[in-house]
Amino acid sequence: MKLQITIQDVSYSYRREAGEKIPALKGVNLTVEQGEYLAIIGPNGSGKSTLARHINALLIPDSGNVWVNGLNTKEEDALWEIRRLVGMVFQNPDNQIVATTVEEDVAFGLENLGLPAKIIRQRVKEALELVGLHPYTRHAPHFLSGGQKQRLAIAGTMVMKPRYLVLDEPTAMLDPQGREEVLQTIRRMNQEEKVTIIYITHFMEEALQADRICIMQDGAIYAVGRVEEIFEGELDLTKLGLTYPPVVELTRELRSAGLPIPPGIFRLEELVEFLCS
Amino acid sequence: MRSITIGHYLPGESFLHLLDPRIKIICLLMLIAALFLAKTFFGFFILGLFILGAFILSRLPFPYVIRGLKPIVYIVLFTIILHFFFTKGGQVLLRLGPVTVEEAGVYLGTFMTLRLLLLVIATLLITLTTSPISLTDGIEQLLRPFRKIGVPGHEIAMMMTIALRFIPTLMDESDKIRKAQMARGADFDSGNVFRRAQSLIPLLVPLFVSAFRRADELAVAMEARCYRGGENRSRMRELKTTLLDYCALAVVAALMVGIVITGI
Amino acid sequence: MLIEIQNLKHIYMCGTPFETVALHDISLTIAKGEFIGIIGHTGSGKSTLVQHFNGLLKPTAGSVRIEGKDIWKDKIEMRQVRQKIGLLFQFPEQQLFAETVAEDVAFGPKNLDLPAPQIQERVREALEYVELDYNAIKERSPFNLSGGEKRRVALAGVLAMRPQALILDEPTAGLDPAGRKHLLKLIQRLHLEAGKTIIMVTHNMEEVARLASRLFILHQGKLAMEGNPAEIFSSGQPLEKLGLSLPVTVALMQKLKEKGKKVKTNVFSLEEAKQEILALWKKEGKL
Repeated sequence: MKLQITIQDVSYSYRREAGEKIPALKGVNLTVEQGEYLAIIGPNGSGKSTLARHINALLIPDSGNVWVNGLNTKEEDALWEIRRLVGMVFQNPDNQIVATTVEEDVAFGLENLGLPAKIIRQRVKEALELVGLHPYTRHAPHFLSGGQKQRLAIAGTMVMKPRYLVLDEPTAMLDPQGREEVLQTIRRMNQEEKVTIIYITHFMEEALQADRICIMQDGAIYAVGRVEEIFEGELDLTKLGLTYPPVVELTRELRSAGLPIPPGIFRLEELVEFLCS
Repeated sequence: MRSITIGHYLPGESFLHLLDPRIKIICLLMLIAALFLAKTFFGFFILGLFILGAFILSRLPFPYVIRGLKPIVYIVLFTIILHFFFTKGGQVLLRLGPVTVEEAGVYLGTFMTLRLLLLVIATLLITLTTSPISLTDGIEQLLRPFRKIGVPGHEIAMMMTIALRFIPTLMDESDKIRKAQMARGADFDSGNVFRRAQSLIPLLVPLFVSAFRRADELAVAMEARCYRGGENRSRMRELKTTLLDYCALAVVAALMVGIVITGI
Repeated sequence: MLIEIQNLKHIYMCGTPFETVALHDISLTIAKGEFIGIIGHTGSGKSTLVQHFNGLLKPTAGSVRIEGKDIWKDKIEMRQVRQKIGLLFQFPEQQLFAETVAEDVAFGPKNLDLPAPQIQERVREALEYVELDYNAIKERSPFNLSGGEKRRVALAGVLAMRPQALILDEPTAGLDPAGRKHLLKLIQRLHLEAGKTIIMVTHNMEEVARLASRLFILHQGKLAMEGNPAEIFSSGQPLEKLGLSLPVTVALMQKLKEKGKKVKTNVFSLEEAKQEILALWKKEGKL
């Protein structure tokens, strides 16, 4: 059994009432190793979210296969184990919180698995500490900030001890502060809890903390590679309606103007250091 | 965030707060039954005393309970006026031109008002001392035996939870949409009834669209967290009854039986 | 002066135990034709403030004047105020309600009791402003459009009122980079070509530093700073303390300056930053 996610030749179409088919994924192949941090980037309508929903069997491929740690998402017996293994966080912070208090919401997943109350209480406590929401245990979710709500959603999946965390544009509706909170939490889950991260976004600057970047375009994977391969390779992301992180764009511009900037400079501090050396 | 719901739970550690929600619901139902079975003012007096005792045990601030009565002020006034002026019988107590207030009217008006007030206060004491979660937990557990005859206890409880969770969100949203339409010159407050009803369309359509979208997204999110209905589901909070709960139950039961037997 | 705010104070749920002071003694003026940025992190009171500009909120104390008239004291029809000062809320696509795009955009002009031909004229004009093809889109349902299109239809709905000033609350939130860029270009055109006064509420420093001529910075319901972007970002005042970050280009130049490089710091676009760095290298003889 391979401890990885394998997406093999997956195609999927949405069906309108008229029987008309709208292809969303066209033969996607991708492997995600356990422990890595993968960012999936693409403009709206490129199939990112559709792909994400295949990973925990919310959608089943029309053709091709998705395996999660050796379990095929087509097998109904494996469904609940797959959903436990793959946690999901969605874009709208409000529309994924079920319960009327923070702790009850975190407990929701474990209650669905039918675990005994004592174990649930213990794990809920741990999960809330993990995302730093323990001071709000009894609060109503309505009073949390956007960033806190998304951390609550992360706690709600982490409580099930998943091996993979799929986040579908979790920061799109947040302010910069909330965005930073969420990005930091995700980084910690990856580094300390060794959870595999699959992070979907349309913002390049958020992909900087990933190990690998996967670029989607029109239902297919356009490019996959390590961060430096994507940012410093041949392809021009602006043609896909994407933008480079500002510092990367500036570095690229300066390089084409003749400045001998070495590869691997993506952050402000790195650029300053080079310019002052 | 700007809206306070009336009858909202007030956290605390009093005797009433600590009772098992199931016991509280059963007690409330028995108390309501007693209020409808009581035939005399003396019966109300006894029940009133009992409710006063419960209030003292709840250690709730008095103004909070009074504020909870505000929404029924008009219903009370309506009841009083209706009975005072339209229920006839007995001596004429007051004559204002062709209108008379008669003994039976005053008697019945006061009787009904008292019943209504005691009923609402008793209910308030429960909702103010029981968190919405405990309340839904209690209802779910109480309905469990009726599952066999097709009463969907878990589903009802889940619906209540989600409603409670989303009411403040939707209130904020309706406030925002109302203002957005007002910024485009909409007027929700003037014109005749027909015009006003019509002016609600730009408010209600977006609200419904949004509620449906939320429901859709929530359903997906719940499924992603392994939700599959009430089967094999456990709860983090287990309800436990103590000796105190049984005592409370016994006292209320005795009260109800007493009212019925003595016919007061 | 188009908008004059004097000693404005706003308290939510005044007189209840949940009373919160949202705005504290704010005074400011906005002239016709300006491009204003209002910045502050969530909870700083910026959305509450702009809702006073068109009379959606009534100040607890202080006055709001539009073109010299006190909108709460002088006899003035609120509808006229709202016609003059248009407001586009955050995620405005949530306010769409009609069966067709044209009907939705017409909602504002209809409320102004205009005759039908004029309404149609305005709808066409507004949709053209937001670069949507009137004939192609007028009969479509607003609910079947893409996210970016929906937002532009909502913007057209406000523009159809022919406001002098346009308040935009986080106009680009939630859009992808292409949608963001397009919308910002539109806003810039509305300012330059249609001569609209623009008041943009945002926490995106990059956008506002590049576009606005004057900035108001709110912090905990108070007006913390005021000035043009160059003044604000070079004043040395630690914006981080107010929960805000510098535009990347400014941060870069400031860091270089700290290291002893002779560069100007009021640089608000990547192109300018590039030129500045190239100039620096030439000066140092490295290029």
